[in-house]
Amino acid sequence: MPIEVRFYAQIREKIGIDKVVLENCNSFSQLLTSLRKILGDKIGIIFDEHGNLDNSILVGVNDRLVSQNTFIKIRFRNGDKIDIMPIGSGG
Amino acid sequence: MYVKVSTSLTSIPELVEKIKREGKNIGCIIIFDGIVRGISKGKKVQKLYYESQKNIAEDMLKRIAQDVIHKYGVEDIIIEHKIGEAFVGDEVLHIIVASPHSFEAITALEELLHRVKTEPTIWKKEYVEGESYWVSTDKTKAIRLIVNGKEVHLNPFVTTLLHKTILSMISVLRGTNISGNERVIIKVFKDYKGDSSNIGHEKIGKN
Repeated sequence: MPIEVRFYAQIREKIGIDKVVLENCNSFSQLLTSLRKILGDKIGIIFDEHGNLDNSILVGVNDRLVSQNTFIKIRFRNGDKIDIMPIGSGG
Repeated sequence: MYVKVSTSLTSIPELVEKIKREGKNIGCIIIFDGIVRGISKGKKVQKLYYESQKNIAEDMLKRIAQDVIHKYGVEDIIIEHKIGEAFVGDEVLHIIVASPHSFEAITALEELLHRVKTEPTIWKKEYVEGESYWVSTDKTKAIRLIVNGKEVHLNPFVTTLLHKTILSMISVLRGTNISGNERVIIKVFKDYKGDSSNIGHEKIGKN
């Protein structure tokens, strides 16, 4: 069950990865475990020490913004695209 | 209502024509044309780069526009934001507000500007002499006090004091429902002479 996780702007530059494809990942805890393996110490750019998403992170699922509370309960499906994004700074 | 996040923006005259053509009760049109500045934090700007999660950004812009139309009763709103590279003098943000009355339009534009800079999934990277950096969103100020055009610096204690006091005062007014996260604008005009007829009426009413 592969899902794609995409990173944006300063997050992408800090971790040095623009996207990853994760197999057998259908929950938030599996996502956290997989990203820990891939990112190592850089996981702290996205998650705090308790494994919670940092307050400043926005999350999208299949091109829709979702709250962090909703995101941690979602069961991922085959082909889902997850966006990990910083807070906007347009204008 | 129309929003777009794109590498190229529509010209302002075209957008004005579009909003006029589609409006039914327009008394004024307020235009914001955001342009890349030549100097940022004292350094010469070489270019800006805007990145975006476009689909989410456009969805958020639509929601912002709908919310502001509903809140202020303006007729229509257009928002276009550029992505990709932009150089000094380039236009990067167009906001057009059409409204029956100017006060609502100006107030709506102010809120739109603040929200467009902080909410949608659009990120700005500045390239200035010798360095480049992603611009972080300024923390929203709880209070801005501007006297005769100049902003007065407020320390955290005074900010909290004014914020809570003003919202408390407003909360006792009939028809207000204050939860603490309202956007309140108070303007005090120097040429106001007072409304003596109302004051007199109030006195008579009480006696």
